[in-house]
Amino acid sequence: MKSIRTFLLLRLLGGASLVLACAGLVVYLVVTRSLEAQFDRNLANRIQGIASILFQEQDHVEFEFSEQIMPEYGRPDCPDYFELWFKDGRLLERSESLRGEDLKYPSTPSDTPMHWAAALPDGRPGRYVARMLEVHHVSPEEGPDRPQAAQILAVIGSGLEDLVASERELLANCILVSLALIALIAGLSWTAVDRGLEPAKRLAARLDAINVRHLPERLDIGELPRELKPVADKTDALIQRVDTALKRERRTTADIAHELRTPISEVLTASEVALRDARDVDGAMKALATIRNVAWRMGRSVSTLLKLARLDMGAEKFDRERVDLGELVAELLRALAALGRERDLQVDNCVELSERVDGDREVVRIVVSNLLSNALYYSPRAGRVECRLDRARDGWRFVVENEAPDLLPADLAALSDPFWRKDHARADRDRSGLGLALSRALADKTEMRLEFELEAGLFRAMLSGNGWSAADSATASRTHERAAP
Amino acid sequence: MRVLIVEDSQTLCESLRVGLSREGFAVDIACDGELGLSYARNNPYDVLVLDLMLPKLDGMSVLARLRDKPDRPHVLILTANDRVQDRVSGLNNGADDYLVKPFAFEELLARIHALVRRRYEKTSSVVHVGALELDVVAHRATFAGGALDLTAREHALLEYLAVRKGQTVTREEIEDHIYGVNRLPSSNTVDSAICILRSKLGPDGKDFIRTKRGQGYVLG
Repeated sequence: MKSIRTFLLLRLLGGASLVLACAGLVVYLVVTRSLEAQFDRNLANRIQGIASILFQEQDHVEFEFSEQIMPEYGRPDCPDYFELWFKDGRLLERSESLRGEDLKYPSTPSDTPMHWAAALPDGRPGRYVARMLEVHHVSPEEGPDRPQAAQILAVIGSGLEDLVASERELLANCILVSLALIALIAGLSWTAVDRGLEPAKRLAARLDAINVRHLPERLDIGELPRELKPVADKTDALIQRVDTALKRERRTTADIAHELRTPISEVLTASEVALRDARDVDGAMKALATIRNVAWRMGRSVSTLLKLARLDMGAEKFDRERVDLGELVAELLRALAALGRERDLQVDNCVELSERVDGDREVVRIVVSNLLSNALYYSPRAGRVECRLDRARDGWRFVVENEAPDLLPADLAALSDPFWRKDHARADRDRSGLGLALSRALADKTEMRLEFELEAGLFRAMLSGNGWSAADSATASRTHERAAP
Repeated sequence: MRVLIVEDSQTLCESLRVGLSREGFAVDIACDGELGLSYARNNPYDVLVLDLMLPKLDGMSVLARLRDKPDRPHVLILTANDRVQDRVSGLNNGADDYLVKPFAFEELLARIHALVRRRYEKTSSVVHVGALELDVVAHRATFAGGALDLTAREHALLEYLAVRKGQTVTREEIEDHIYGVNRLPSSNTVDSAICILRSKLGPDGKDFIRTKRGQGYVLG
């Protein structure tokens, strides 16, 4: 359907035309049948008229015909015809218009009028009526000597010109009225469709006027018909989703620009200061080392951002295999042991060796490494970090738990936003602020779920995934029991 | 002149310290807002270079808490925030200048010099005191028509005395403005520096920088 207006107009006009055509046809048929019946009744009346001028006196039958009374049988053009026969087959009388010829009549006439259609003797289409008439006695006396009333077969043939003309006129009128009604319906339909589409036009105009830089909260286009309300509601919801995505995108872009300003300043200042004194070779070497370190740091951030972009575009491919989570956690905690000692943390690993989960090995490593690293870095000094497997509604999940006295429930939603930090002052300058964003994106792309929870000052990062259920239930249950205080 | 840099990037701090020291500034570094506020409250800085997003205490709070300090240093906000409302807010809260990262070191230097001039009510980067002509930006000095070969610190010392011409400048003030908190001079460092400066000025040097016994020095 290319156009609702065309579709509706065609359907409405097509339907109306069909209905009008059918109605016209019915009217035409009913009226023509009625006209034909009327025609036949006239013919029957004319037979009755002939009967009224037939008289019998004794055995003699008189037919008092006069062209003044019945001029239709003497017309030079388009005359009608009649013929009167005795029952024994003798001719009583025939109209002059027959010029000696005979009319055809039924072999078994009755005393009720019989009608049939056939060509008249002059070749015109015509209609006939035949009836057996009992002749009226003029002698008053009645008795056994009175002769039996003669039986006369009267046949009349009449041309159909007037009837056909009436029927044609009726047909023409029906067609004209139908065409006029179709034109009227077309006009009314056009107006109705136009009015009906008006809210859609308003909706389109409102959508057209929307500035993507300032998306409205609601379309606000006034009263809408019931049929368009779902469209407006869904459009409102879509606008909200687009607005949220755009704001997030802008915030991320602004954050990226903002995050790069300081390292660029570091590189620029180090190089400019070094260039100002060519004699200071040591200073120049220190500046070069600074520039290299900052460039590495920026490179890592850019790589992570690129990885996030590729994940968004779906350009990354992942494997699915059994990953030894217990071994991975133990290995990562060994690598982070120095940070734990430096921050005087108690780190409890309740995940047993040989605990296995399904997922991409590299992805699981990145996500788990990030969760552990964050827990050790952000946990209060001399605090406790625990990692374990917990029973969840739909399977098992890996949990990293640490104290987070400064974190608020409202912060949880922003935790995996790029560059989000609780401390806006970037006290954690050596952290890129991209780890959780990357982890969340990786988890989303590999059928894993990364969720956060805050309860009584305890922060939990929980990783779960498809296939993390039945196979490991026994061992997981054991680890959970052991992890309980 | 003495500058305090309050900036959480140690890399940037170190580069600024090296660059500004070479230009003759005494530079102190604070890597968080609390330390920066403490330094600024307890030392007579000429210029405070202040980042906004700082650990422990943000730059705006530092600025607000310094507002009632007598002889408060001129403040240059050095930040990655480049929105107009950030600039307006910083300047309305008492900052004297606002520079957005990334920046050219030359520009930062020029702005610091401008703030120093404003602090000592000078309109030009060239200071004239008698026969002395001192270009504080180009680091050129002439005395009675002859060019002076000065180190950065000697130039800074001469500049400080020149901007306070006619006033008695105490040894403590010289120490405060020419040496940073981390490198306190020995008791006769200032006297030695003045002595060397006089000798470079020539025979008229002693009359040009006069000693006020028990008080300090007067230039001009």
